[in-house]
Amino acid sequence: MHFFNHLLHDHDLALILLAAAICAAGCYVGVGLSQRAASERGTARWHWCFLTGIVAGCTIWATHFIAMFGYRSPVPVSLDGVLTLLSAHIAVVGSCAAVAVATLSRRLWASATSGLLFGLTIAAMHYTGMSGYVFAGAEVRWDYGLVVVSIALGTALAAAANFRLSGSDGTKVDIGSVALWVAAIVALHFTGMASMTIAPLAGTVVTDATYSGVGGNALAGAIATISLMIVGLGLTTSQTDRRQQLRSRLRLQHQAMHDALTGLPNRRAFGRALAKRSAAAEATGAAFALLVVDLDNFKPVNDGMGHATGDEVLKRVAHRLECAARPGDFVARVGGDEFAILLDGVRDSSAAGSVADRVIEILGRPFLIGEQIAEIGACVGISLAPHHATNPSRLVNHADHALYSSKRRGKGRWQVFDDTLLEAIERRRVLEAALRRAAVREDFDVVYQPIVDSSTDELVGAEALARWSPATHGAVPPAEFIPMAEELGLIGRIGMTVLRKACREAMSWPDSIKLSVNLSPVQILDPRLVSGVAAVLHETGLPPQRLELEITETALLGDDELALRTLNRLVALGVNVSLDDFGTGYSSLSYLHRFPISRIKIDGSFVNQAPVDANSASIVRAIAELGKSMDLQITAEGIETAAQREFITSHGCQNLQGFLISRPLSEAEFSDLCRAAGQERAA
Amino acid sequence: MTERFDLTDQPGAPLLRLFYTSSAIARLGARELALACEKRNREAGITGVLLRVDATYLQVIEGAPKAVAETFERICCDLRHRNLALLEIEPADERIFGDWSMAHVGDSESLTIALRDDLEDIRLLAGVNAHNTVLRMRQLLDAVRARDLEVRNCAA
Ligand SMILES: Cc1cc2nc3c(=O)[nH]c(=O)nc-3n(C[C@H](O)[C@H](O)[C@H](O)COP(=O)(O)O)c2cc1C
Repeated sequence: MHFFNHLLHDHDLALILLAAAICAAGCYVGVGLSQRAASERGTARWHWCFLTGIVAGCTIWATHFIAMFGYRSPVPVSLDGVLTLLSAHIAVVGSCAAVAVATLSRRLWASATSGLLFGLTIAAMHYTGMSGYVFAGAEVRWDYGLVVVSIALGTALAAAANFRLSGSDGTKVDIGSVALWVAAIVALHFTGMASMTIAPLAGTVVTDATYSGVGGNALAGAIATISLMIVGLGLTTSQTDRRQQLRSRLRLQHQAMHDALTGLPNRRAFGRALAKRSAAAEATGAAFALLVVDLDNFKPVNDGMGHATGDEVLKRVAHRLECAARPGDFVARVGGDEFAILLDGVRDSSAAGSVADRVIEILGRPFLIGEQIAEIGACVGISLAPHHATNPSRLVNHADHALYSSKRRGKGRWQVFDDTLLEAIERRRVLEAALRRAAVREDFDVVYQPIVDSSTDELVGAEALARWSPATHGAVPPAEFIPMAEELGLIGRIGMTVLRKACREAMSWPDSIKLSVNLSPVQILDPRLVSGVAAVLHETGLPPQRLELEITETALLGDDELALRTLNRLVALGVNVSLDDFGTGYSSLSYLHRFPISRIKIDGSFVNQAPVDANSASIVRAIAELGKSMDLQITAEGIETAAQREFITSHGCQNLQGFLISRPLSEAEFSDLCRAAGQERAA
Repeated sequence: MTERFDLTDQPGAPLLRLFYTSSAIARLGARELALACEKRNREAGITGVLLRVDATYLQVIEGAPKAVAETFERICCDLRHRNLALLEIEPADERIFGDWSMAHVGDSESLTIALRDDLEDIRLLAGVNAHNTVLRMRQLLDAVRARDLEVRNCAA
């Protein structure tokens, strides 16, 4: 009890409380700063260590000195300036070192060493400071046992504080460590004070303690103020920094979850939103719809009009999607030109479909950028939770399948997932594999549709048509496998197979019979086409004049310079070029002038309606007249009735083709027909 | 029904004129729409005309290219009409509708038979010759203005 009596008896309570308050505030700030220092790297860390060291050092020093002013010395006291200053330096430098060591590692050695350093710093500061007190007319006696105890206590508590700190995550100031720091400082100070006895020498008048020079209270006030300012500085620094960190953390969080270009939630944010809703759908049956939106035609816009324009389009797409979605719907950008929308509370296809309609409508409108117009469009795939699934990745898969099938049906469509889609997709997958095999094995048949002269009825030629009947599926119509071959990049190969086969077989027909073979638009853009055709002619020996290559208008739409060059080189080989399906597409007369075309084939759809439908009739008449004026041959396709035949013939089409004349024939049948025709002519 | 205001374009500053049609999906008339965006158009230096013929809107907007692009984007974000078809966009030297921040004709307006026929003609012409249609729209506005003047004179 000697200790506490001593404490209470020898000290001025008000100043002791002030010292304690400064100590607590300083330790709070110091701990916060040291946590901050530990979270930094490189030079920034040393700056934070330095700041922490200054705050901690000042705290120790100020606590000590203010407490000392609260100490009632039995004799007058004066301060040795050098030693007092030295003690301040020791406090700051030692604290800096201790903090720096603590930030080196989270291991035990670092916190132990740092604790030791910190404890020794407090002790060194304390005893150096104490030796700067000159007690006039008194002898200072030390209890070395207690001195050792004080150093041991301070060091142990400091080490404990640093050990705690090394385990904290730095998000909040660790109050336990603050308490331990305070405890280390306080314990060392008061144990140190207890170890000291002031024995007045005989003859000294015992008065109240007085400091020579400046008044004690004023000095205490000055030290306290400056220390508080330093502690305050540390506090403001760490608070400002914390706020900034919070702000930058929020910004980072925003950046991590949002697409920088459009500002929409990104793929990751979408994943979370979907997972959350899926879980709710699973748990409570809460319905929602997933729409995946894929832009049509974005790539050509981006490539053709520049990436800046492409970016602007994407930004506007994002905004338009938000306009098309209902308030509160979740719109995200999940890929380059792919977006997704989550519709809460949507249970059936029709509600989801009406949003999809709006999306397609709004994205189908032009984008006026600068003075350029970008036209894109969109397809939408839809899946419904919990109806189709409640598993996020299955929902996405289903919506993707629906999207795939809507894209297949054309631009500006939407489609809700259903199980038959999977079958269709599976069929397509199998067919694609079969088509690849067939392309390698040249597994295609060629049939021939006879073409006759409209005035003499004489057989003048045949159009070669590709047929494909994979063993697993039976005959697959050309309308299905040709686009597939184009997409898979097989059309060049298949086209050449058909051409070679047809040319070879045509060699057995009379010389007067011409052969027409179709070229896909994709083939026209293939630089190997001309040499391929030349090679086939050479190989089979078919005179080029007997070969006619049929192209469609779409082939001339894309890169028409390239198309023009290719067609000119084909014509230079001696073959003829005809324009197929005329009247259905863009039918610009300028094609007929620019491209080396020697025949037009009027599309069957006009021929079908011609005799009864005035509009079709006038188109047929116009085309026939055009042919006459431009010296082009005209073939009418799809003749099915005698009336059509009569109408077409009377309007001056030279050649006829269609079921009325003959269905497509196998090679053997066609050869027979040629023979019969020959005999007829001979007869 | 029309509002005059002063609009001074910098001489030589490029202008853009745009003409589109769309189908109305609501009873929303040309009058309500034009009044609603008049203030905004005036601030953006946009002039033009909006007609509603049955369920078809026909609108011309003209102004500085940037303002036209922004206004058109707003119009494209509006789902109160469908089947929007941009019929013409062309640089212009001067305004055709410089007197109107957004003139409007159509719907419930008490129109003479002649004006009604004009409206119908304009709608049919739009798909065939966009440029002439724009000129016809200006003539229509002049005719309406003349009629209004007459009505006022008669009343006086
Ligand atoms: C037929 C039609 C014509 C429009 N004309 C204009 C117009 O001249 N100027 C304009 O700023 N907005 C026009 N709008 C767009 C709407 O008024 C648009 O919804 C509104 O400007 C959006 O305002 P907010 O951004 O304050 O919602 C038109 C919309 C429609 C359907």
